Formats: sequence, C-alpha cells, structure tokens
Amino acid sequence: MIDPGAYRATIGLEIHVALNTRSKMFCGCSTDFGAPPNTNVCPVCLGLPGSLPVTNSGAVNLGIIAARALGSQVRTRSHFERKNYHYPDLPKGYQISQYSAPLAVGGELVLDDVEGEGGRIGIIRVHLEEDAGKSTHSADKGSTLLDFNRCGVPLAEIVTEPHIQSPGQARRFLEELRALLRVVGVSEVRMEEGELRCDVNFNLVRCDEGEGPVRTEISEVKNLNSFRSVQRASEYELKRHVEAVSRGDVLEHETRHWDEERGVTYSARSKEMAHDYRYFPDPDLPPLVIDPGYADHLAGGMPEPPRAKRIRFADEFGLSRYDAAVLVADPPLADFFEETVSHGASARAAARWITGEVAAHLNASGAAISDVPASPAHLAELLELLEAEQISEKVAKRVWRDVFESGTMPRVIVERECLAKIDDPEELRDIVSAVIAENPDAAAEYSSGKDRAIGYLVGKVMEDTRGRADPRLVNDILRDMLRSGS
Amino acid sequence: MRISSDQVERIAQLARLHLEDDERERIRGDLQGILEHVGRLDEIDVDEIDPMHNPAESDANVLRDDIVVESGVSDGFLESVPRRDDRYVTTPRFVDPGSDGHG
Ligand SMILES: [Zn+2]
Repeated sequence: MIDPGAYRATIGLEIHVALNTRSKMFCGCSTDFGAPPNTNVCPVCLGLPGSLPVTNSGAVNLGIIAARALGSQVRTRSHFERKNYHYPDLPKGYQISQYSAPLAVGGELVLDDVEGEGGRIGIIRVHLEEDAGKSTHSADKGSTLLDFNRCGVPLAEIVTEPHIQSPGQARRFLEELRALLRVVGVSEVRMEEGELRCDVNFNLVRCDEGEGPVRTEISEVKNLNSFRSVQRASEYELKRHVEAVSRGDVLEHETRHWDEERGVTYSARSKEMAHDYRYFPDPDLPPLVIDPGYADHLAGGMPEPPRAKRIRFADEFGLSRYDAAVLVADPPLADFFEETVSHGASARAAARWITGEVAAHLNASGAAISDVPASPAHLAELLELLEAEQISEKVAKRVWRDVFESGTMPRVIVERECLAKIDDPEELRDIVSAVIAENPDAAAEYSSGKDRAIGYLVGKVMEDTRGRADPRLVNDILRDMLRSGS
Repeated sequence: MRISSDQVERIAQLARLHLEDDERERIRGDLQGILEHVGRLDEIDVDEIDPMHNPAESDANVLRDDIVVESGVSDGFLESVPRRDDRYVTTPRFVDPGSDGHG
C-alpha cells in the first residue's frame, strides 16, 4: 500500500507577463488595450508576406530589468527562434520566442516566511516573446472570432524551478512577483487585461531513504489568468494526484485546462499531436548582444524591490512585519510614509496613521494619494501635535478629515476651531460638575455601585468638549468628584 | 537517414495538410532527396567551429525605439479577409482552444 502522505507537491510555474511598452515587440503597432478589434495591426503582426520584424529596444530593456530584478544572469548573447504551430490566432504559423539562447538564466525570488509559505524559489530562465491574438466564440457558436490587436504584444516568460511546495505558496509567489514587476516598472500586471497568464506544472514527489525520488507524471495546466485560479487548479491537481497514488493508478504526462466554473481541470486530449514546435533560429532577426555594463546600467536605476523595502522598513523604522507589508504593497503609500518620517514624525505613529486613517479616507473617496491635497508635511505636523499631547486622538482624526479635503495645515485648523486639548484640571472640573448636574440619574447609578455609569458620563464630557478633553483625566476627575459627593 | 511514410504523415499533420497516398509517397521521395543532399554537410568536420544561428550574425542589435507607428492597414485588412463579423475575422469554430501550444 502506498502512503500518499509521504509525497509532497512539486510545482513549477511558467508566467507570461505583458511588458509595459507603447508599441509591439516587432512592429510599431500600439499595445493599447480596449481598441476596436483589429485596429492595432500591420503587415508584420499579421504575418503578411514580405514583412520583416524589427525588435523593440524598449521591450529588450524591460526584459533585462525583469531578469535583473529576479537576480537572473543576462546572457551577453541571445537570439530569437520560431516556435511553430498552427492556430487561427497566430497568423504567421509561428510565434517568435526564445528557446536555446534565452535572454537570461538563473535567479530566484525569496518569499517571506509567512504561515510556513516562505522560501527561495529558483528561476530557470527569463525570455522574450510575442503574444498571440485573441479568439472568442461567436454567439451562435458556429464560428471563432479573431482579434489581432494583442498579436505581437511583448511578453516576458519567467520559468521557475519546481521549488513551490503548495498551492498557497504558488499564489504567494505570484503576488510577490507581481509586486516586484510593478515596482521596477516592467509591467502594470493588470490581471483583468490578461497581462499575466500562468501555466502550472504539477506533480508529486516522494523521497525514500536510500532510493531515488519517486514521482507522479507532470500535469501541465495551461493559461490560468488569475492568482485564485492558479491556487484552485493546483489544489485540484494535488487532490487528483493523491487520489491516483492512493488507488495505485498511474497518471499520464498531459496538458490540462482549468474549468473555472466547475472548479476542475480536464485533459486537453491532444496526445497524438504532442508538442512538436520545431524551434529554429529566426533568420529575420539578428541576435541580441547585451554588454554586461549595459545591463548593470539598467539595473542601477531600478527602484528598491518590495522585499528589500519590507526588511528595511522593519529594521530601520522598527515597524511590525504586518505594517511593513501593508505599506510596501502600495508603493505610493510607502513613499508617503518615508516622507512623513523624514519630516520628523515617529515612524510607528506614521505607519499606524497611514495604514489606518489615511488609507481609510483614500478607500472611501476612491482617490490616489497623489491626487489629494494632504501631503506628508500635513501628516507629520498632525502627528507632532498628537505627540505633544496638544490634541486628542479623536480631534486628530477630525482634523485629518479637514486636511484631507482642504489641504489646510493641521495647526491652522486646530487654532481656527479651538481644538486644542483641555488639560487644565480646573477647567475640566467645571465642565465635569456641569455634566454631573445635568445627568443626576447616571451620577446616582454610579454612586449606588454601577461602575459602568462612569462611561456614560465620560462620553458626555467628551461630547461637550468636542473630543478636546483627555478621557483618562476626565475619568479620574469624575470618580474623584462623585466619591466626594461634590 | 531514411524518411518513412509515417514521418511524412506526421509532418503533414503538423503543417495541417491532408495528403493522399500517392502524394505522400511522392513527397516522401522529395524529402528523402533533400535530406540526402543536405546530408553531405555531415561530411564536414565542424568540431572547431562555433555554431552560427543567424546569417546576420555581424549585425547584432538591430533595434527600433519604442514608438507607435500606425500602419493604416486596418480597414483594408478587414476588407480583404474571406470571412468576417463586423470588425472580427472569423474562421470555422475551433473546439479546443489552447490545446496546441500557447505557451
Ligand atoms: Zn503590427
């Protein structure tokens, strides 16, 4: 009897990311999403006879940056090859890709150790290629509709080692990869526009002592377009492989598709025409020769990768891992945080406010931080007032609402609206005694032993002072006055 | 190297060509002749020579700037295709999208 528990999942990903260029990989057609069908086309991307491709230097640069961001080694020499297959959305009858001499090899992406899903995921290669067109079925299902706007859009394909050990980790990898590629400007990674698609290569491996590893055959689940479907398809394959092993069934190496609605993968049943792409160097395209100094130059201008930034935020500013992760996940907010700190604010207070109030106002208004009048200088001043206990937390929130809408400096708002904290005990005593006089029932309840009546009275004082009183001080004064019966 | 009838059939399938039996035999003969002709290259000792992947080997990095140039062929292209539905080009329905490549 074979114990499925002795096996572990082994997942490798092949990720296709649309590069952030204005024009296509080998022609001047626009890469704009959402143009009317078959608008952004030309003889090159339609594969018309006599047309010749010319490589987009912008795409090469972004490919180099993607590679360097992943710690891959950019090869001094690479070339393009033709991957031959016939499909209606591929007018040339081949896709220009890289095969025997890819742009870059090696590298890794390190995942933070969260919920046991950390680790180093090796990268096998990063190469450049062009996208195919888009095919959809007509309403009557009688024909296939083709739009070649995407045909020839530059892609980077990133292939990982089979180092991923769980469906959740596969998802974590993609999230980290997306954050990295966005920060370094390689791709916007707009999932809804199909800018990231992923193939999952899944199998189980068992390592017994003294014997070589035993594996199930690999399932290649193709063309997943969301992180959720990558995770779900991997979970489905895990279950399917474990069940097969439990039953003693032998799986076949096959291509599978994911059915999002039913939540299952199914066989592509194209074994008789197993992949035979007959790659050969594209004679239309001269090789790429990339000087290491040039790759260094591009890498030198690269913004800080998310993981390095999270580590720095934790080390330099003493932030919790959670706060560091939340800030770094939103680069404009991370910049806002750093600037607020550079204006003299305490890092922890700045992090707490930005992940709390600032983010809440942005979410509610749907605005980007760059589009609102509130700046790091505003927040730093507000935090300074809080730190110096010149205003209460409650007032600070109210002031921020005003700052957020008007861009007025917090100190100006506090002075204009007389919001400074009341910390003079004499002044507070007068207010408290008035509140006691107005609420004799609550005062009597407290005196008869109902301690929670005090909360009601504190609330009344806060209300009367528009949040300007210090609740702790009010609490002390209230108890003092009620006890002494004055 | 001898090319078999099965190999010809497989190549025909990859090229989406339907061959009659007599055509397959004729093409097998043609391919055989081509392979024998090209096979003469095997007689040359190339151990000391780096592989050449491209005839334009000396013109590395022929690149263009990332600038959009409108081709202006869009409408003419759509007028010239055999079948279309509004701005889409249409073909007989394909049953199993993505099974034959795409990555
Ligand atoms: Zn084009």
